[in-house]
Amino acid sequence: MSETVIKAENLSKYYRLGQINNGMLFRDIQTWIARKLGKEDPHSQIGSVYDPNAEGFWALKDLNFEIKQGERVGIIGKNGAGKSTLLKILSQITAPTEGSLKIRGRIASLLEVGTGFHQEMTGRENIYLNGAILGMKKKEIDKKIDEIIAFSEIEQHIDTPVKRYSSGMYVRLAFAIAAHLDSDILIADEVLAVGDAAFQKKAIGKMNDLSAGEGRTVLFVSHQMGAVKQLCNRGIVLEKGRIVADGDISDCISFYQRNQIKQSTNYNLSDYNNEFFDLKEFSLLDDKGEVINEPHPNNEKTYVKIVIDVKQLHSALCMGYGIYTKDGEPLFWSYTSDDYENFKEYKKGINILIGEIPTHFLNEDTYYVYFLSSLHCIAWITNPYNDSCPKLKFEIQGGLSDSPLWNQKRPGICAPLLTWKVEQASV
Amino acid sequence: MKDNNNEQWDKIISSKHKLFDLKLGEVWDYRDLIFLFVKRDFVIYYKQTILGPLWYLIQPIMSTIMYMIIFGALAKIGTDGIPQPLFYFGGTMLWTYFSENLIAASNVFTNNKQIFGKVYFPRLTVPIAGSLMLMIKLAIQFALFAAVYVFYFIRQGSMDGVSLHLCWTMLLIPVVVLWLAVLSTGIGMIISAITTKYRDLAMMLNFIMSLVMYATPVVYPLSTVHGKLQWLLYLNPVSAPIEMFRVWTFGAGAVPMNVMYLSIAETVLCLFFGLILFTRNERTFVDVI
Repeated sequence: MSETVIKAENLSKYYRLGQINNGMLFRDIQTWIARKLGKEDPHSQIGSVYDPNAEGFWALKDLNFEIKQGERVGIIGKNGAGKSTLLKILSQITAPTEGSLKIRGRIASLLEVGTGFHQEMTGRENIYLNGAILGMKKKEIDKKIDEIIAFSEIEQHIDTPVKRYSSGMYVRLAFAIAAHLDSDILIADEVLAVGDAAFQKKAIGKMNDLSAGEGRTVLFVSHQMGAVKQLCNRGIVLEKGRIVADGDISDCISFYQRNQIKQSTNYNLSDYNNEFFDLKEFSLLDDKGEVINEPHPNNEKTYVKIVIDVKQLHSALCMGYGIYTKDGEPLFWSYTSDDYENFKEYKKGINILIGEIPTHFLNEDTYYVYFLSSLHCIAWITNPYNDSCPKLKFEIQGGLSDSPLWNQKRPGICAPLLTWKVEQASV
Repeated sequence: MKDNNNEQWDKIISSKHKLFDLKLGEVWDYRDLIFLFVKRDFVIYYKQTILGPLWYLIQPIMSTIMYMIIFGALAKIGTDGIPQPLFYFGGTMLWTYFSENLIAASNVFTNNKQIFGKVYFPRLTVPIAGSLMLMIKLAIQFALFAAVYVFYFIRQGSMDGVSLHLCWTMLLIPVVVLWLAVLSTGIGMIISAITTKYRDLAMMLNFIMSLVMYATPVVYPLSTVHGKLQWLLYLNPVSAPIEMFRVWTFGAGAVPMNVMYLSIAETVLCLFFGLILFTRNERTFVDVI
């Protein structure tokens, strides 16, 4: 059994919401004097800091886990589940409110690449400065500087002030420094989502080398389940500051996704009522007009049906749907107004909108259909960016083609059935 | 392997904080970073200026001329027999060091919140580096001071009322600088802990410092102050080191022993409380700022 390198015991972090203090020195002094004299605080609000009724929340609550040498742990959770707070405590940026965290070995965190870069200084000077901020000694940097410069691919510009760098060069240099840290434990937060595609690939490769190749312990946070799956072998799923799953990475990802679906497709239509319209129906229908609940073959048409009861007219009112992958990446959006020939202005009362998803278009997979509504170029009504829109799960299975040679899923997002012309010379 | 034994862990991040856990060893480990911070701040100061490091001299020279006109020529305040340019230049360079270092130390958290929120390194490296960088600036100013001193020393025969003699106590000048460094960093760290929560103090600090200068023997010697306000200067911890600079450099003026002891005690206390408040504050200030 390998060594435990990180051990969390009852790790908790409490944040107060809203105003951190009363805002005025004078009032705080009054409070302090009152407390010293044993009197009631003239500015006290109901409940103390730890009172559940007080304005605050536990960003993390009673986390217990152990991480062993060489494990590559993906920390998964929705926004606000406590991932960043956990990383902040791990990298010693903030202290926990309760509990403790024990660490063996040196931690390097890639929380934000390029922190501490100074615009006026050259690339080389910044390598030293940034390396030292991340905890390297000058000697170690001396040893690694050539490797860092080579990895960043900016040899020619290394003695130019970084303010003249393009954003790509900047990020490459920053990542190169962080990736060459001599650390036992590496903490990374979405850092791979930087640079162009070629560099991203290189960065992921480097991360793989560091973790799998050199046996370093890695903690990785990302919303891209693909990257997490590729890099990690263990997962910890956080939800509202608590660990809800811990184990094999694939199990954790599917647990998380199942949970996501349950939450996102379990809703009341009336939750989305707003000043412009009430949402009466949002569903997927097949050819016969029946609601689709099961995996749907790719050779049958699918319709998105939206029924709204318009209460207030607005010239910019816009309706549509978006199709997203199961990882939450958008594939496309479609609005009723796109089909300009057939588009009609909305009328007060019931409006039924039916959009067709063509056959042989998407590949065999699970998708989500988001209901989109907005005042065009003014404001979102149901916003796909902050998860405030209703979603439907849409699964495509089978019906890829009539050909016996194509009945299995092929790679890719689309699976169009295209025509071919075959010309043959007659013998 | 059970790990009830804490010794085998390299680092324990806990909600409990020991009051005297100042992590000075860790600061020493990051000495290369301190050096790089000093270099950065020093170079950045005059990047893209024509006069370069000369800027470090222009400001105290202008102040010296101002003081010579206002306090020397108009108000006719004595200088304990020290040539006026030396008296005012010496006073203003030390005071500027003290006040700039204090203000810099008090703004450590607010000025570095970006980087402090992203990476951990011992926060104490920042005020230490700031203090060292200002020391380099002071050294440059001191070189000019020494040059003027040599000029007066050679020419003193032909000038009225100037009598300078070299004495071994000049070697103690670094003690004055260290004294001022510790005192200003200590006070600055105490203020830094307060200003993360109450910005008001940061707003007032520049103004307060310019007032305190007049309660410090910078533009007048300690010996000219008598009567009711004398206690104010005696209580002021900066009075002793600045006046001691003159005593040690020129053999002019004097500091009562009690004032010396008081200032040393105040310096030690400020450093002590400064360090404690600073290390306490660095643990959670990201949540507040």
